[in-house]
Amino acid sequence: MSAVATPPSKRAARVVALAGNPNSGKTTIFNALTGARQHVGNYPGVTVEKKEGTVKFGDDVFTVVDLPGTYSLTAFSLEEIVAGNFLIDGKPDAVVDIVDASNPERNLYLAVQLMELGAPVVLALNMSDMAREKGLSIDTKKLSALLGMPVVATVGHKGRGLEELLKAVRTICRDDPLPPKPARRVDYGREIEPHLDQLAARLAVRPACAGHARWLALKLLEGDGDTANRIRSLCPEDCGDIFRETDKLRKHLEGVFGEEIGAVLTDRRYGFIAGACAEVVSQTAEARISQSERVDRIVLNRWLGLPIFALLMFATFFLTFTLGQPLMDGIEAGFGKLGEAVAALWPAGGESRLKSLLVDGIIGGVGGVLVFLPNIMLLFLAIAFLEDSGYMARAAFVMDRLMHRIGLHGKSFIPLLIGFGCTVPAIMATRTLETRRDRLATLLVLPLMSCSARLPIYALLIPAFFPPEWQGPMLWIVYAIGIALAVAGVKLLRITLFKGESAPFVMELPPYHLPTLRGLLVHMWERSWMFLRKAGTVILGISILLWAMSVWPKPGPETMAKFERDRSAIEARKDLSGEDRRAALEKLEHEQGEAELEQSLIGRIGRGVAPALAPLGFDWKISTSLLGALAAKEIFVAQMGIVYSVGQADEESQSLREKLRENYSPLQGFCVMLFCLISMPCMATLTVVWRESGSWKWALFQAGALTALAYTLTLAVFQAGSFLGWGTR
Amino acid sequence: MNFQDKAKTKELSAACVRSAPPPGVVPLAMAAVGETCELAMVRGANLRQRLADMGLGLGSRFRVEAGEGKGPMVISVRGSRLILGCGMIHKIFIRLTSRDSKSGRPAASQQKGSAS
Ligand SMILES: Nc1nc2c(ncn2[C@@H]2O[C@H](COP(=O)(O)OP(=O)(O)O)[C@@H](O)[C@H]2O)c(=O)[nH]1
Repeated sequence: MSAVATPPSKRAARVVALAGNPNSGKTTIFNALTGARQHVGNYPGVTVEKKEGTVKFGDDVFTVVDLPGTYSLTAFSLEEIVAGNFLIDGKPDAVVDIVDASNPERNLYLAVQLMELGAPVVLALNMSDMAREKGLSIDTKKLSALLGMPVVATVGHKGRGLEELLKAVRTICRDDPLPPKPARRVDYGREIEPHLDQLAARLAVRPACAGHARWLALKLLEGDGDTANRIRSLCPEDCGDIFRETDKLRKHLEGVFGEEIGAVLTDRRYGFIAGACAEVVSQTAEARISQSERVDRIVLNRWLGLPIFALLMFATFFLTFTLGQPLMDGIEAGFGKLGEAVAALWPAGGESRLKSLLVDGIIGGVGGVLVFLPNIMLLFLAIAFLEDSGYMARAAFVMDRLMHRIGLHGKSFIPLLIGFGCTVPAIMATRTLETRRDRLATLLVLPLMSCSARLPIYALLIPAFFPPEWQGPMLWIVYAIGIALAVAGVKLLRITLFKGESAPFVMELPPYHLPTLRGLLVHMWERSWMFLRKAGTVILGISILLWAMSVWPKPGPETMAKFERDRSAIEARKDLSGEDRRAALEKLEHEQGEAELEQSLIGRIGRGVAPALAPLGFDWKISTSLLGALAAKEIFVAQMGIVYSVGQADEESQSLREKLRENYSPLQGFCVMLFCLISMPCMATLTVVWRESGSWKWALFQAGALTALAYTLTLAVFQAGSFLGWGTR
Repeated sequence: MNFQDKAKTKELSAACVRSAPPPGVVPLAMAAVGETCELAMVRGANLRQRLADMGLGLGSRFRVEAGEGKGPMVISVRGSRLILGCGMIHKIFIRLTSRDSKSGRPAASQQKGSAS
């Protein structure tokens, strides 16, 4: 709370932090409070997203910050560290602790810690409808008095109780000089209390620590290194005596209790909560087996769990691709029309650099990527459904056994699943993993989950080279190769770079919820937006760059003159009918396009690297297209179109497929897919890996290792295939 | 100075001292679905604190809801359910409450098999 009373009008918006356990309905309340007025930034120094929004309530404006879900102020994962630091160092004007009222004991733990911290807390008893259903009734008045904080019952997805919640927030923000004192504080017992008081008294004489000496003393006793550092940086004077005292105390108390003091303190807090709950919570109805438990008997069943999981995953992907197809076609047609409309602005036949830039470079490049938006959005919608309904936690349970074998745990499965949509949001989703080792191991193999940007490459090549009955299985084979390599990759990382055990996997099993449409849409949008942003920035830039590289420099004047001469020659020939003449001219134009491309920068680079890629069965045309794929995988298809000068190319392009069939063998086609699947991830992925891992070294390592792997594997497949005569012509 | 390091060493040594399970204490992996147990010991200070934060302190009673053998488990404690991953079921040691003779607590009614 700010101590200086400035008139409300002059004060900046007051900061309200939303804290709470995961799945307590925090996001729901945040969205209900702020509506569309939110934006996403980053916490300074780390890349955890900071969701902020504003809410107007009467004359007051509040800035609401949605903190990552956390069970306690003792942090384990990156997200929890961020939440804890914001609550402690960020000094928000008010903290709304969102509590799942249907599960009060565990949820009140954070509230008790906040009470001990002395933060200005408002308790929101969310899911009060669920609590009633479970037959729990909570005496809010009594609870409020016990904890010394206002308590408001809410139902997040119905928006009930938010008015009162804001009222309570306003009261607490209005610099009430004396916040209500808790009626009771956690009593740590005869053994600990005197020592605690003594330590707190020592801290209290230091002005910087006086405000919450008891809390600091508790954290010191727990052996929390962050707190020690905090005290060190806050106090100008020497604090050695305090730390020495702490050490002595910890040794003494551990001798008495025979276990770490932190665990003892936690038990005492839970004891306090159990006592409080006994007073304020009453079980009005007979506790019966909940619906969720009944469903879980089947879903978590030893034998049925895995088949149900497989079925749901299949349904997810099947729906994504079947429902997505018409939408994709629509978008594609739209971009085609747009290109034509823009092209029509120039007089027919007139060639212009600007037109080429707009139509081929920008509209073609970005449009080629946005075509996947429906697929990605549908996949993210399905994932949002699995998450919001509570199934994702079950999936983590079902997958844990398999994931454990490869050295990860069930939670890693969620980012891997998102990776099939787009690697960028998948990398963001690794933030819930608790140790850096687990995070990095997951991050590094994530690009092997074949993202939807690689689908057009398969969609172009598979029908070009394989008979219809093989097309479906071929696609599965490619995806399966990616998964198998990811598994092998994690295993390898686990025995080399990231030795040691993975973090303990403890996760709450939330009850099933019927997700709200709004929640689903918000969650879907958050992830899709990352993909869109990539299309709008990285891909737009790269498209322009690639376009320029494929246009300049022009072939020498003699070559151009030769084409001019040929053109005049064709036009002068009398023996050709109009039809034949047009065909001949078109052929000439393609030849000219090819010659121009060969001369251009990208063609030269492509030729330069071609010898290195020749053992993989790639000629200079494929090499040139692969260069484009370095920027974003999906550009490969457009590049192939340019190299073969078939004009507008997309993955449905029959003429391009013809050309491919003429020029390459199925084995070469397969090798291209294999290489695209494994090799260096796209620029957007690399930048995110760089940011998320905090070091460009990991991004470079990932790019290098994957490219090396792609090279070796494709080489092996091509050479073995050629030797054995598989898929050659 | 190195307050943090010292704290770590201490936690480690505390964990080591307690690493041999006392009689009557078995790994969680031995519990069957439906059994009620009491948390007796946890290997690893980090894990112990994590579990404690989630309401599973030493001495708390919980029921095994799903999962057996080598797989992960679901337990219910303090009115909600937790998943405990495969990696942990051999680090968590329990006492079956029906055998808890000193506290004289009644045996859990759902008890259906013995663990040893
Ligand atoms: N029955 C009920 N469901 C709620 C309430 N608040 C949120 N939910 C649902 O709980 C689920 C999880 O909510 P979410 O906001 O994503 O939780 P978070 O993890 O804390 O951000 C969603 O499906 C919500 O629709 C509530 O008050 N009552």
